Amino acid sequence: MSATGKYGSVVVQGFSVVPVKFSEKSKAAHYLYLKEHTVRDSDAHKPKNRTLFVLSVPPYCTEESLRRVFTQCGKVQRVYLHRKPTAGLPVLDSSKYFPATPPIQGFKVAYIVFKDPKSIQRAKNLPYDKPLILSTPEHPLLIGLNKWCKEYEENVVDVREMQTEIDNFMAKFDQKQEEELRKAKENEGVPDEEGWVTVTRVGKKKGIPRTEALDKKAKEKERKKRKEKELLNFYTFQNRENKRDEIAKLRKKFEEDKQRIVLMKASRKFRPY
Amino acid sequence: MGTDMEDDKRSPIGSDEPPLKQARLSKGKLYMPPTNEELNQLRETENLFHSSLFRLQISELLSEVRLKEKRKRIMNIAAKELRQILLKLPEGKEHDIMHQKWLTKSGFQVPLNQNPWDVKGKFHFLPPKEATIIGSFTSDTCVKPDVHLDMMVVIPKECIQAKDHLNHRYARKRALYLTVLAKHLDNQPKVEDLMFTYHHGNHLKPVLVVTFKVEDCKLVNIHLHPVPEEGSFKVNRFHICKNNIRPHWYRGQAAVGDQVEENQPSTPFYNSTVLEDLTMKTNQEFLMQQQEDSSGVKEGITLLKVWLRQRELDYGYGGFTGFIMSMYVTYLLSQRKLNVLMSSYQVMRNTLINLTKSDWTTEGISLQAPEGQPHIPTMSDFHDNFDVVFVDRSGFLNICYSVNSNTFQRVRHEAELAIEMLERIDLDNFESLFMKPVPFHLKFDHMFHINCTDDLITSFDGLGLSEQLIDSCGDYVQTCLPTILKILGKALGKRVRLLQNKLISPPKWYVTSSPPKVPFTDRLTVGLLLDPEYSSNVLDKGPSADLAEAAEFREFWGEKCELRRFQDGSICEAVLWAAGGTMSTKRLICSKIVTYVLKKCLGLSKKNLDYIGGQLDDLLHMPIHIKGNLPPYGTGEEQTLAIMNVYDDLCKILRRLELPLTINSIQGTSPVFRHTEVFSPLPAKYKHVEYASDDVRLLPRADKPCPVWSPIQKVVCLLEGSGHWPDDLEALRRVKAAFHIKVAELLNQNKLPVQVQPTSVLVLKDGYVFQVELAHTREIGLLKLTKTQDGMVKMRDTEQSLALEKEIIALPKLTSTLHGLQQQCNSFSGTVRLANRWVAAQMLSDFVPDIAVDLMVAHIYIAPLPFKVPGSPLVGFQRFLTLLSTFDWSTSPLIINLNYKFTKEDLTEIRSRFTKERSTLPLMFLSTPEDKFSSLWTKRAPTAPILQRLILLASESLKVLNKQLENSDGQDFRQIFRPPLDVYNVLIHLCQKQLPRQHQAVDLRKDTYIPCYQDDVESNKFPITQFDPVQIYLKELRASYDEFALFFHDTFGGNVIGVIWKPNVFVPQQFKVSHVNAHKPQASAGQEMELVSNIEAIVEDFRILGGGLVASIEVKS
Repeated sequence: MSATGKYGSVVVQGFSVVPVKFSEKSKAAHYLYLKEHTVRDSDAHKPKNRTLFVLSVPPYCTEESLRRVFTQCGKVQRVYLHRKPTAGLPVLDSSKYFPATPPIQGFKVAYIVFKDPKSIQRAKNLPYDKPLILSTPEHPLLIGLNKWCKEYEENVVDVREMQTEIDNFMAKFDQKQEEELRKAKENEGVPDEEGWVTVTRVGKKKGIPRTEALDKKAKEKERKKRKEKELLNFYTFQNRENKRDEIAKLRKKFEEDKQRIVLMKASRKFRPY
Repeated sequence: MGTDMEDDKRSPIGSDEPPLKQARLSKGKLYMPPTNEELNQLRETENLFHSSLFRLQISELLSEVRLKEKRKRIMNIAAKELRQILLKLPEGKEHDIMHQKWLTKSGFQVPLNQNPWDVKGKFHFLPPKEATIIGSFTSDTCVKPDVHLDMMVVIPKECIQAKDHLNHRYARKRALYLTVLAKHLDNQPKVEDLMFTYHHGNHLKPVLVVTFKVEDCKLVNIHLHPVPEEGSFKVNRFHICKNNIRPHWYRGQAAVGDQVEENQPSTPFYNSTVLEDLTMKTNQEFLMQQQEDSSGVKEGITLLKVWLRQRELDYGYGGFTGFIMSMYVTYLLSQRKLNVLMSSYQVMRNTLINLTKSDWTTEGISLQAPEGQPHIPTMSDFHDNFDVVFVDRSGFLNICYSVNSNTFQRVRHEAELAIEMLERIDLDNFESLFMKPVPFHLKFDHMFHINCTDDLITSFDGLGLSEQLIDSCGDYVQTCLPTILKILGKALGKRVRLLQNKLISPPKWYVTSSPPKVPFTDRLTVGLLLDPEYSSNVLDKGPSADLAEAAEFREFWGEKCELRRFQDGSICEAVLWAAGGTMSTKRLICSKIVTYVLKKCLGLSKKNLDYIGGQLDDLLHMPIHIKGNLPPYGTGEEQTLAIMNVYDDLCKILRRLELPLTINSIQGTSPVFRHTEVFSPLPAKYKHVEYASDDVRLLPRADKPCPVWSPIQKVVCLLEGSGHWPDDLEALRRVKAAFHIKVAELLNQNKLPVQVQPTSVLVLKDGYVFQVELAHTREIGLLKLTKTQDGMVKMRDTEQSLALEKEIIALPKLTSTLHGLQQQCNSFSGTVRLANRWVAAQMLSDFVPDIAVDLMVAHIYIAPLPFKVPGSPLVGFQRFLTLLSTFDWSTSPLIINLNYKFTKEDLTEIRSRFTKERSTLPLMFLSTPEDKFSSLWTKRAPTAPILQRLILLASESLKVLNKQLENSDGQDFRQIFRPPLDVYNVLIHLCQKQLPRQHQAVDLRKDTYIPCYQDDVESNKFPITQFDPVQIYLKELRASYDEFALFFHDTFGGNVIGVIWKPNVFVPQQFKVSHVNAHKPQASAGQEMELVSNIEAIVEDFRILGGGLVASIEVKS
């Protein structure tokens, strides 16, 4: 299932293989695997015929560098980076201080949306022997110590900005909660199509919340009640059975101990020196 | 009934045994009516043994150590055949004792140091009168391994002349007799090997070790003990108060006039040596008669022998031998303290209890028959001449004549510990009692070796030992030993609980080589068991100056002694050992005392003394230049204290803050708060290396050396519960952040520089940076909440909820518990930090959770049996390595009874659940009262290969360390802290100047930057904290190349990262969308394109990602 492409490109399982190097000086290259993005339910953001699906994107690679190296195939509209292949959009973090997803590290996949559908073919025909260069003297990638120092520097909170963000969020949140409460009150006591009425906490008759803890408590109570009713050591047979159980317990324990010893013996636990 | 254990044993992980069948009786069998016999047995177990498990364990142990019937038969045959040979030996010619050419010319050497040489008398070899088996074989109390037969060979009366009791003549004849035996036996085809050794290390008592061949291949070791025939000597001749070695003869002087024997110094040692031979038969017969074939007694003795041997007490000169133990059991039988119907467990237990109650050093015991002979020595005679007194059946011999009082105290101490073990409900008591070895170097907190050169003899006159030197026939080491121990005991006083010399196993040599010189070792090893309460006192307070004892005190301490006025107004003699030193110097005060006293009393120079106590302290020392008012950095205890004080102040401030919710508890959770931080942090006031800075913070610069490491200290504040928290996680995060902003504001009003972060507040106080984190339990609940389909709300642990619970509940609790432990045992911190340092040095600290190490060390301190709580970091560390390497992780849970909260039922439950669920539980399973069944801290790590490697490294390190401690002179104790690098496939060497912790490295290099602390660096700007490029680099590497390789690094200043490729990396794979990262295509044989790992590119990436940090990369083929 493999063949050498027409223009010196290599294709594996439908993926064109394109080498990529960090800089001109790098000796070894990584290989990108690219293919046209095809899914049944296409997303408007990743249009079917214009999106290039790229696998094995090296860790230091950024959106900008990808955009730059693929511009040679045509104008790039958008680049999306993901941890794993996904049809949808990456989760966009609306909040600066409370990110919903951790930043992507390590190898990733990319979706490159071109302006022109023809660019896809051009990209697929990129030669196998001429690696793309990610970091050029004009556009260096930030790596290593430089990057870490910069990250340290940027890791600071603008208190006022954060406070505003919190205030905004909380205002919205409170509003939403009120809305829900209002709705719940409105629907209180209104039967559904089949005529059932849901008991909610806002109604006049507040039902008991259905939680595991409460459930357990109720069961325990019942068990206790039942036990209190029972008579112990009352009938002769109970006494007799108790004694019998006692001996059975001893026997069982003895048997278990023997078993333990066998195990210990197997692991040579009785060789003192 | 102490114990029980659930059934269902799965086969242990990693072993290939088939799983055992469940120990479940059928219902019918369980409820069968009991037979009388069975009831009896069940009752017996309850009454006569600790528990049924203990009973079974004992019988297993016995079957393991006792001789098998087959072996016994063979040994009997051997004895019989040898006896036949011995009795038929031809008679020899008469020779002068001093003329030994007739013997030596055939190559045999007399196994005795014949010094002085001149002895009168004639030696005439006659075949033995009788040869009988004696000793433990006859009473069936032998303990494997190294079983030998003892055979008593009776020298006929005719060989003994008058006056043979004098001046070594008997000893000479005995040795010559043995040599002749050796000469004759040498020709025997069945004799495989002939050697000499000393009986119990006594250099006057050689024995011949015959390796005898039976049935063509089975070898039996037989020790031949020559004894004179009954009636050869009057026993009275060897009364311990009489003299049998004339000093003038010994010194080679002519007899001065008619010396009266009574005026000569007594020779108790020499007399006892001979008496031992004379009474051998009597005692043997008595032993046999008393034991009456009682299997309980015999098994009890066997158990006690195993117990002694595990404690290395039963061999060598001065050992508490199995013979003494047997005699003691016999004594107890005769005193009706034991009876023949007792079970082995009862015999053992009662013997040990009686041993703890008796003190043979002051009240000796005696087995002497009531109708004894006349002229026997009195008890006070014995006490005057010996340390420890246990008189035999004849009434003449003290069978403990060679035991010194310190060894006896050790035996008693061990007996006390044994009783403690038996009374503990814990299951493992059997193991600590009989199975775990208690080697000398693990038992004692400090040790020292003395090289005894014969220069020592010059000090003997002063110590009054010259006469004893004659008695011991020149063995100056053993002569001075009791005195040395006494002096040291006096000097160390309360500082030590126990002081004991290490017993030395006697040498063995071929019959054709000359015997080892006397003393056969010039090395003494003495161990100190410290009493932590007193051992580091800097001052010894003596008597008040005006008392009479003051003079004695002054004389004892010499120049060190001075008059001091104390706070209560009294003026006393006192000795000051260290004025205000660091903890590391205080810990070694005993070494100062020992060195001083030995020098003063024995004239022992420092070069002959090798004190072992603080050898590893260097590993905890952090080199640092200090300018200003800061205590010097010893092993970090002072710095930990300093940061604790600042932390306490911070807690006070935090509690005073006016927040909408009150703070329920404040607890620091960084390692320093549990005393487990290897290097205590200092205030971040280092001489500037040139940093960049913005308006509030100092910032690192890539083109400059990395700033010195200064960590942040985490503090968790648990808020009170409140119904006002939102029920939504996202909202909750924001409310919490708002809280943090508030806290920061309030702290800032207290003039503390702060930095707000979404999940915490950084506070700079007195140079330390604290990370204050508000927390409340509601968040855990929210994370756990799940709704089932039918609308039931359930609490289910999720990964996040567990992580949070660990962070804000478990860790604070554990931290405060371990802090408490440190308050009780002050060497805990040192041990745990050494352990952590060692794990890090093996580059494994990222793979072995530090809490797991902390807990293991805590276990050593909480459950030290069969030892005492470690009294020094060195011994604690050794026990940590022992625990790590010998614990059976696959089949047992390590139960850490923090605060002793476990009940008996808990222990049983943990064990049974552990065995049931073994396969689903972590490999290293740690159970604490707060976390019984989940082993929270070791859930993910260590993995099987890492644990295996850790165990291997631990046992190797232990071996090396033990060897080094045996002779510490000029040893490099950092050796076990240097990791072997040959296992790694790739080595990434790092730039020295970018390592913020380079000064913490095991080995300092020439270019290592030693940070300079300056008190006056006053800056309101936030210092650079928690910035370690190597850690960030490692994180990036692991994030990207986790499926290809493992990365190892020593957190504390390691300048190399070791990389090991995962085993499946080199296997070509089919193309799969999920597995193409860092792979390259490769044409395979079948025209099919395959993917292989792009190793060159990955290695190249290592360099790229670590730009500025990586110096070079070394790829091994």
